[in-house]
Amino acid sequence: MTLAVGSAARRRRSVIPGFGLTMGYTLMYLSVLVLLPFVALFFKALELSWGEIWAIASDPRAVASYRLTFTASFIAASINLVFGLLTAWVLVRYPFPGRRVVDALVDLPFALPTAVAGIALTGLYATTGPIGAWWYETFGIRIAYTELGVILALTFIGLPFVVRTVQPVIEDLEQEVEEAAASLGASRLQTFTRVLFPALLPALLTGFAMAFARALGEYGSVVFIAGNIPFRTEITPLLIIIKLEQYDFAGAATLGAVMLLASFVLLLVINGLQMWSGTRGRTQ
Amino acid sequence: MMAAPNPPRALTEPPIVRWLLTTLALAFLGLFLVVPLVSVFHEALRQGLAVYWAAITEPDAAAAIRLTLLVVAISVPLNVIFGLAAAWSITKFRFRGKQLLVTLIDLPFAVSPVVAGLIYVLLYGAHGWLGPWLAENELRIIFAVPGIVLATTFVTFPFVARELIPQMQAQGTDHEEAAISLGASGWQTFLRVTLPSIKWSLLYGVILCNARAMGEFGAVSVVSGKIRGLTNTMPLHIEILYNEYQLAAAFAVASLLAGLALVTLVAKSVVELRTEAEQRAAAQAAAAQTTARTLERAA
Amino acid sequence: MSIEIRNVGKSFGAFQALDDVSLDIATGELVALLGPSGCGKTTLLRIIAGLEQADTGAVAFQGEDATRLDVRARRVGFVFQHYALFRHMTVFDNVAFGLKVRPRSSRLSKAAIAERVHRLLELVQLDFMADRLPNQLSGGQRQRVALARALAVEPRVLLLDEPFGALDAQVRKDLRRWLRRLHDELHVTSVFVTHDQEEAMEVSDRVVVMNRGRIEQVGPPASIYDDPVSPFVYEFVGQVNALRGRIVDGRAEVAGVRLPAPSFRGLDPLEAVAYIRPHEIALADAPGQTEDWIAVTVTDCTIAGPVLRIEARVAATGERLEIEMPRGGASLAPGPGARLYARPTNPRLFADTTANPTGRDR
Repeated sequence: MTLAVGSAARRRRSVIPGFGLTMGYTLMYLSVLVLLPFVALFFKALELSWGEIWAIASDPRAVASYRLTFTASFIAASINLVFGLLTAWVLVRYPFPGRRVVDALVDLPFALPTAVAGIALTGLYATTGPIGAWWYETFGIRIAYTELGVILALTFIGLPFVVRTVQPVIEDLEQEVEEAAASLGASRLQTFTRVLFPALLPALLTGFAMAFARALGEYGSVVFIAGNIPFRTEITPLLIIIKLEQYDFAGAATLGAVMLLASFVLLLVINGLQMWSGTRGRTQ
Repeated sequence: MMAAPNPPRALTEPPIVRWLLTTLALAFLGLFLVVPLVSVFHEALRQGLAVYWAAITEPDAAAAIRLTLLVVAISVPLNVIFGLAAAWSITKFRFRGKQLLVTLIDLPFAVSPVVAGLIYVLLYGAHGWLGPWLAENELRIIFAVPGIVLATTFVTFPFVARELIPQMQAQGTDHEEAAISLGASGWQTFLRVTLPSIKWSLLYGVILCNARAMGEFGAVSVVSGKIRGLTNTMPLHIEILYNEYQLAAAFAVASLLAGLALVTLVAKSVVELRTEAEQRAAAQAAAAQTTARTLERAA
Repeated sequence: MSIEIRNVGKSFGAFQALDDVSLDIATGELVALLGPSGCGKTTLLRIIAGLEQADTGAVAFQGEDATRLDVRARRVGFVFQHYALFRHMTVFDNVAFGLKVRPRSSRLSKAAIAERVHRLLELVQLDFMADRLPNQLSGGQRQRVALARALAVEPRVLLLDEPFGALDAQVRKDLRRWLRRLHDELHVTSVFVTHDQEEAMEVSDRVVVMNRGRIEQVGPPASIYDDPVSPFVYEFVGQVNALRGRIVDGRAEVAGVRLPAPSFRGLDPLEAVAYIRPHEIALADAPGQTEDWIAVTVTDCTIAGPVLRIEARVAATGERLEIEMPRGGASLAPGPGARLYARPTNPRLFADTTANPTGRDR
């Protein structure tokens, strides 16, 4: 009996007021802003039959856009995995002049509007831009208006995620653990690969998943640099906009639902990863 | 106990490795962050100050700036109120489904901005659920300012709440319960006890929220209709100029937003330094108390 | 393996952690470094391990200079206060770590590693936990795993930094007895750091008392307790009463009585402090023949198990005096206000250095 009363009463018996007001406001806000529109999206998609939905979702042009969006996002997130770990490690472990400034600058992709990033990268990496011209002359490869450009833009916008998830974990590493490994005879490389890296892995994967999720949905920075050639450099979000401009609302809703499902799956993965790093992080 | 300034060899990497890794990291950040940032200002000023000035004062640009500020002035306060309400209800009370609510608040981070715009078109657009009813009453949301505000608000609503929830969670409910037991009203408790303790997190959230609201492109571009002088925000204006090959003008407007990004980074760092300093002071105070107690016992 | 420490000095910025410390530790010995926090004991241990480099001086193992030797090459086992177990590895993998990271040429076979790990886990009585992760273990179990891990590499010396500091009182007691027995079995030269005098006394062959970066006294536990060489050691090890006074003519005037102080003849007059252990005091209703019976007034009397603890005030000076005696068959049961006479049976006098740095809480 105590159990039943306890759990039922604890909820209500808070002396702090305002539950009804704040909770009501929160739920109303979320309903208007989130739930209602999302329901609208799925109902719009469901105006079509399953066959029609499948036809739109598996249309070759759409499939080509999925392939580009997924592979480019994956490659960009992988680049960020490597350089994000490197950056976080250097920022925490190796003091150098101006570290504070560099640390603050890492968040630039969060603060810089994507359209600005898009035109800046395009200006630099198009064959008319300084870096793009040099690259084209040297290697004969174009960056802007190709898949490379898409990867470049997605790398830029995903850059802070791995750094910001891994950095606090590196800061919290106990010095004693590294000392223990050294006293047991491990070389520095062994200490890193066998002791430190496994400890950083959950955070690394979380950062990777976040960068990947962000890249999947990215639009602003990519449209400028991608060239938007159908079947080649057309990302899924752009395809949605094209369908909207052609008043193909059901088609847009279908592709939107596909992307939304991908987002949900990733959100679940990220939550799972965070729980994993949580259980790993706890010791004492 | 105390960390040595130069740990022995086995506990860090050789200097050459440290130097190489640092150089590599800085080169990466330089290429990906600094060069694009500098190029914005360089391109903007390439044709001289006069062109720059003309580009940002020209009527359409001015209208875009005004609209962006208007949208921010509506969205950010809305999201501050929402953030406070959500954080209060989530952290000060126990209820079922809390985790679900927290995940729901994170949703805009996972959803493509284009999809965010799309859902409002499907709800309020001419062919949307509420479209016919809105048309009857001569209300316009899509391809008008309300739609832009809605889309921006959606994309930016997690920022304040996400900063507040972890901090208020960590602080617990002791202070509020103490204030209430001393006879303070709910409002007094919030204004005098809770708010002062979360002011830096709140400010941090507002800074991030503001930056994103000013620069949002994908979601706004879906709902705006891009009517010059009417529904064009700054990022959309940049796109139009860029597509018309008015590069200097496009970069001029872009440089304003890039400047804003820099201000955001500085403000963010200041707030971070503040919080760090406060935490350090608190830790020192706690340590001093322990020392005092030890001395007391010794005396 | 013996350890020789010669004139070691170390400072962190302006803080002098170790000041010209020399110490010899014999093969197979179990030595405790005892002192208050900040006294340099942990720094000394870390310098022996090679986790810290001494600014000056030298460390040698068995006469062989190891000062510049890397921590990896020193072959020491180090046990940390907070265990420092590798969280993502099982108990087995933690213990096997030091064996697995050896260069291929000197690495044992998988089977041999497994055998040794299981033998060590049996030694620390945790073989049944081999597949657990560290966070599924209790504090005492974790510390035993840490010890097994350190022993796995067959260290020349075993170094333990406050090994029981993070544990509950009862677990701490059990574990230190167990450590003593383990040492008697293995006979590996061991040094452990502690701020708990009881722990140092109970476990070690010799105790090194440190204060402010220097060694105050080295000796077997009993001699540290019975013959402290300085006021600091007196106050840090065990309970003690300190009564202020003056030495004149080879006798100390303390608490209104005179105590013999022959060793101070010629140095007087001198301000001095008499140190008296609470249990080295005789009590009587009336003063005896000698002139060292101090008149006191009882202020409080408590019974702590088998011990009678009396708090009294010295009639002549108002100083506080703590007296402890076995309770069994006590003929005296003084209540507050009772006037009694107390005779210190083993007082020690030290010149009063007003800059007495120590705390008295121990």
